[in-house]
Amino acid sequence: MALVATVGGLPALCPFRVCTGLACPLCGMTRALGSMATGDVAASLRHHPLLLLVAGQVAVVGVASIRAGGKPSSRIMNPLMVANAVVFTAVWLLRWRTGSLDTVAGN
Amino acid sequence: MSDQNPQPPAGWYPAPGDPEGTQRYWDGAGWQGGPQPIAGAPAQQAAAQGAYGGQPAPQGAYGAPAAAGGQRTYADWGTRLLATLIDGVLLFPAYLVVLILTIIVWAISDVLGILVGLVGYLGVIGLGIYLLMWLPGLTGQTPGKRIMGYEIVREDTGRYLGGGAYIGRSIIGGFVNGLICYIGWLWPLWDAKNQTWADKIFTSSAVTRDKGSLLPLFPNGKPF
Repeated sequence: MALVATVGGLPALCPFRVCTGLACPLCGMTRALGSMATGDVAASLRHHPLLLLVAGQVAVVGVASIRAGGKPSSRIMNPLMVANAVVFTAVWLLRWRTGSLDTVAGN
Repeated sequence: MSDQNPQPPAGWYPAPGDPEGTQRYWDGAGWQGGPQPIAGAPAQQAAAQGAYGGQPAPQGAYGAPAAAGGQRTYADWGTRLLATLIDGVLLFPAYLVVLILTIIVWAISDVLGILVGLVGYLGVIGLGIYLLMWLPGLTGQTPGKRIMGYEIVREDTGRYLGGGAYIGRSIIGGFVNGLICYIGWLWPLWDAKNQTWADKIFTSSAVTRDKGSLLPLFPNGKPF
């Protein structure tokens, strides 16, 4: 937890952002996790608003897979991933428009 | 690799451990490529496939088609991660040798030291590209994949990708995999065919086969 919490002070781990200076639709997710780990919900939402959506999916799909003893069905995963792509792109554009992405990307 | 004296002459032989009705090319010192179905033994081959549990590796003459109707099993994410980690540390000893050599020569002559360091460094990079990006296009495997027991084939035809396509898969595919928070690398965790994004782009997949050994680094005994 302490390690996660200090991620905010580390240089960017993302090669894409280092190379291009751009923020991808998931940019800020690590820092959102770090803030959440220290209990700073407001900062977490500022870094990335969809952390809980990802965490929820990982938990539900992970538990379901373990209980089923195998991989989640592609009948579930394919629509889920399409939905994710749509939601994350929409939120990305919204963050871009409102300028909140710039602070995340450090530009 | 041990009990090979006296060496039989080069030719096609059934290899120990391979399915019945297949043979491999023996070059006089080691096996080249993988099992190939013996022409005129289709019934035997089909039977062997059933007993084998997996598909005989589609290889040998490079680009040879996979046996039709063979059932594939895909290497899982953990297996592929381990193979990648093995490949990642593979060249470290070579770097160390270059470093030590450079330091020694440097003590004798600055210019010579720089030269040895530069040539050695480029040599290791070249070896890495050859071993990890070119050769697997022809044999389906890097050393790490050999140890973990799987190979990279075309998803549609079962053939190997070829050197150029494999280099593209490594560089372009690797870049795309890492584009959005490395999701492309994680994709096999839930993908039905265990494909990464690079696999999707280059229509490749990781198919299990019998495990091999790390050495010799060049399983075919010759450069291509």
